[in-house]
Amino acid sequence: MIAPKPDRDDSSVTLVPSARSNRSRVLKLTIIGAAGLTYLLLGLVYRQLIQGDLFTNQHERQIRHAIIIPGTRGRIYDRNGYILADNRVRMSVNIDLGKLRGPILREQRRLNLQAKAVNPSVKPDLEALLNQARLNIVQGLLDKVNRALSTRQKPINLQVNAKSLAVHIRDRRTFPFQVVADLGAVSKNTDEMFARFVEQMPNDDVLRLDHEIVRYYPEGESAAHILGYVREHKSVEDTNGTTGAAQKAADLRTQLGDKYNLGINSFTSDKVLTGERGIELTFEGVLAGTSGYQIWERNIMGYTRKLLGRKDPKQGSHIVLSIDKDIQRAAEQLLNSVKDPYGRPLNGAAAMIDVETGEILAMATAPSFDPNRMVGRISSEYYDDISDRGGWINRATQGLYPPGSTFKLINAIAGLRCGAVRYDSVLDCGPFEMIGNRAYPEHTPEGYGPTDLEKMLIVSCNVWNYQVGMRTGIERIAAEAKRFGLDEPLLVSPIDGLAEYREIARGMIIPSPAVKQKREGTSWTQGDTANSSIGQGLFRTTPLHMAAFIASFARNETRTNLTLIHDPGRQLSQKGNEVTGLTAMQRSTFIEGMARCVEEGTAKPVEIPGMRIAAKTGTAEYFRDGQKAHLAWTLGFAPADNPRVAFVVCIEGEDMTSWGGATAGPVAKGMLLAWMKREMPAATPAEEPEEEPGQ
Amino acid sequence: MSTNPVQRLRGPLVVLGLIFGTWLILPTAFRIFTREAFAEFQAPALGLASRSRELVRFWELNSRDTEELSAAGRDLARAEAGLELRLRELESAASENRRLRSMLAAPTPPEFRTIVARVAVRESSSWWTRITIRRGRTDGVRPGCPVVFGDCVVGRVAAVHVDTSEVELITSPGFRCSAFIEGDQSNRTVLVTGEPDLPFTAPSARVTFIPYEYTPPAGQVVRVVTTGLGGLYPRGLRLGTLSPELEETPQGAYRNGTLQPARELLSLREVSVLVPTEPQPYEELR
Repeated sequence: MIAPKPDRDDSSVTLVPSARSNRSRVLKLTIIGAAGLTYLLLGLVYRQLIQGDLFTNQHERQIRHAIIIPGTRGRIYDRNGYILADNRVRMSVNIDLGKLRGPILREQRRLNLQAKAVNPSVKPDLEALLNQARLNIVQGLLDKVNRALSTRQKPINLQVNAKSLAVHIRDRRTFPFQVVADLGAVSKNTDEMFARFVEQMPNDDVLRLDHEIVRYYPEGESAAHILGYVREHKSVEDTNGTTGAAQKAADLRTQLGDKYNLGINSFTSDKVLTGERGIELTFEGVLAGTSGYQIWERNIMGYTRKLLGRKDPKQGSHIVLSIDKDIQRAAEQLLNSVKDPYGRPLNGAAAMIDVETGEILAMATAPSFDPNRMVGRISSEYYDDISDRGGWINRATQGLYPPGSTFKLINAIAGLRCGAVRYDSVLDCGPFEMIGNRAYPEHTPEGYGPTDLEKMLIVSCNVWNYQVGMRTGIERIAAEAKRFGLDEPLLVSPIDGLAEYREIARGMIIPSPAVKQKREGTSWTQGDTANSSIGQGLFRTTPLHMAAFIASFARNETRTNLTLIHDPGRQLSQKGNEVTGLTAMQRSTFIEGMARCVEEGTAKPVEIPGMRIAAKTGTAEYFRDGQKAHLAWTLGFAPADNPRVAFVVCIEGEDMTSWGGATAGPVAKGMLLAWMKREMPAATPAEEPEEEPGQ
Repeated sequence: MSTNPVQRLRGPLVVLGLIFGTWLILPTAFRIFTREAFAEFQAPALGLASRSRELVRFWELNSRDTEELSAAGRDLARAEAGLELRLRELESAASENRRLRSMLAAPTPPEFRTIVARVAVRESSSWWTRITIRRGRTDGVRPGCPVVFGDCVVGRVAAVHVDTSEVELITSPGFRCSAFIEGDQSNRTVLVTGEPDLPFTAPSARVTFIPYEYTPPAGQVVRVVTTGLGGLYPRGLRLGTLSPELEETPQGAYRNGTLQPARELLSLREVSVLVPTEPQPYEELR
């Protein structure tokens, strides 16, 4: 019997797939899987092989950071090797925040719990808590510093500036956070603070004693206008890229960017000092050191983790100035002590020049300022005080004054050279000279009677000069003044034409008909010639120009190219220089007259026993705050027979009570004594009791 | 038994690794306690060894003949008489100094109590870094106190246990102190820090912030002494001698030099711990 074939139930589902169907599915899955894997593999290949360099590049750019360390500035010395501008170590206390991550996070958690306990419904602002935690931890460390530095006599209580900390976290995380910028500023005794910190505080790498190099001027206000000062910038970027330090740092950034694959934002600079005035500014490129660097790898928080490379900065070159510190200080002390009969301090300038080389031995101006107070933040009170006193102006190079009777030397030279007068001509000099309808007075009511060149120099006779000036003519007088370079910029290098000092006047005026027409729109008169012949009227020149003139005259030449840079083998530059053209007799008459001016004439206050000095004084009139006042001049050279130094002093009187010899003479004498003490100590007379100049 | 050395060492290495791992994850307080307990545990042994050495020395000295000892005693008596006289002078000077300071309202330097301590142990592995002395908390030694020998700075107390203390020597990298260079007329402060004890190198410390214009006088030994400004060491104690070669720094504002420690440091048997009569900030800051 054959069993009946069971009926096929069409509605039933086949539960076990066929082998063919399985293969097909596996194949599909395999293909999909393979495609997926291939896609991933290709993606990996693309990312690793094709884009690998790009990502490595991006990674490096993100984690690498360069710190530019500007080089220390070079020192500035005086001609004898004394330091005028130096670098000093300033001790600071810094906290490495990168090493405080643990304590800060624990403090944040504590603050968080505290906030939740106080108000459970409000979700605390975690960022604010983190900032507070940082502040608490840093203040905790600073409290330790306070305890270490405090003495029984002087408790110290330094506080963290929350704003500075926030700015530091935002911008300068690569650097440690500075909690004490200057240990010396905490107390007057810098050494004690330094010693207390190193001995009382544990020597760890969280709270670190670091140091910065700051500019220091050991002579204080002395030579401040010559040296200038430096400004402290937070980074090279703050310097506007114009300074030597900034330019050197910019070059370095380019090199490092290529070498270490650094992005444009991967640089931070340490503090940088740049010259703001004087030699510090002009020689910025020389003084600024070569920047070094440190290349750091940073962690995810932005703190430094590993040093990848470094190069130490290099100190800038040193400069030796022609200034003699002792003569400079003597000139300044005397200038600062000049007072008018009412006891008011008077402003002024003084300079001394080496006749043979043109090197400036002293260039003083009063009032002055202390460049040490310009480093870092300048207080507005101090800045305003200097401005109110007119202390920013270097009166020796920027003060434009009528030369007064000191110009009579040039007037006489012009007269002699053109034959308007002979060295032995005797002119009748009454109490005044009529020129046109106006009487031009002598400075004594009686007049000087018969006067020759020598007598004119001794008594500074006005009428002799009026007469000679009228005979010579303004064109020849002006030409003579130009020949001595009274209207040309000084302190310009004769080699490359670059200024070695930038605070110089450029508005010198040598009067002439054309100049008067241009400036005032009026015609030249005979009276103008008379005024010009005694150095009044439109004349404007600087004390340093007059110093250069008298130095040239001392050598029987017309130009002295001045310099502030010392060179032991210096030969005077001959640019524009020529001999005066005076005969031997004419020249000896000049020197005799000027020497007798010191011995018996208006320059008597300059006299020094044992040294023959040739000098000429001048009392020029000028307007000060709309009122007539006297400018006191004294210039000359010494020794009279063999000139080695030339000097000039110019004092701004407050009214008509200052006089050339009486007010400016003692300053000139003091400078000469300081020079003699250095150059001929045996011949220097014993110091006399000090007289109050100008009294 | 397995002959494979790796297999043989596996067990001990695993145990060592476990101990090390456990040590790492233990709470800090427990670790400090353990370290302290270990120090206290070994202190009697160190003391005993030190005393044994002294006993040996005692018997060695005891074997000398009476005449030799009498002569040494006479010399000692003479030296003592001289020192007594010097002590009177110094007491008088100190009294005058105190009077002048009070007149000028000048800060008074801390006064010290001296605790003489024998050196218990000086291990060859940390010869120029650390010594252990036989005086501790019970004797009044406090952490951070300066340790001297004669007029020479030895270091400062780094850790204090019940009967012993550990002294960090001036050649230890953790040491730092302000100093003057003797003969420098301007008395500029320099910094002395210990240097890592490298093998095959002479022990030394580093002198930094030496003014660039200072030049050591040729052929003379230049001593470096404490400033007394930091409130830790009295003024004028000897730290060592400055090596004649000074090295330039890139900043150019100062130079660095090497300090050769005083010869006395080589064989220390006894030191003095200077314990300030009033607590100093460093005691709580360390």
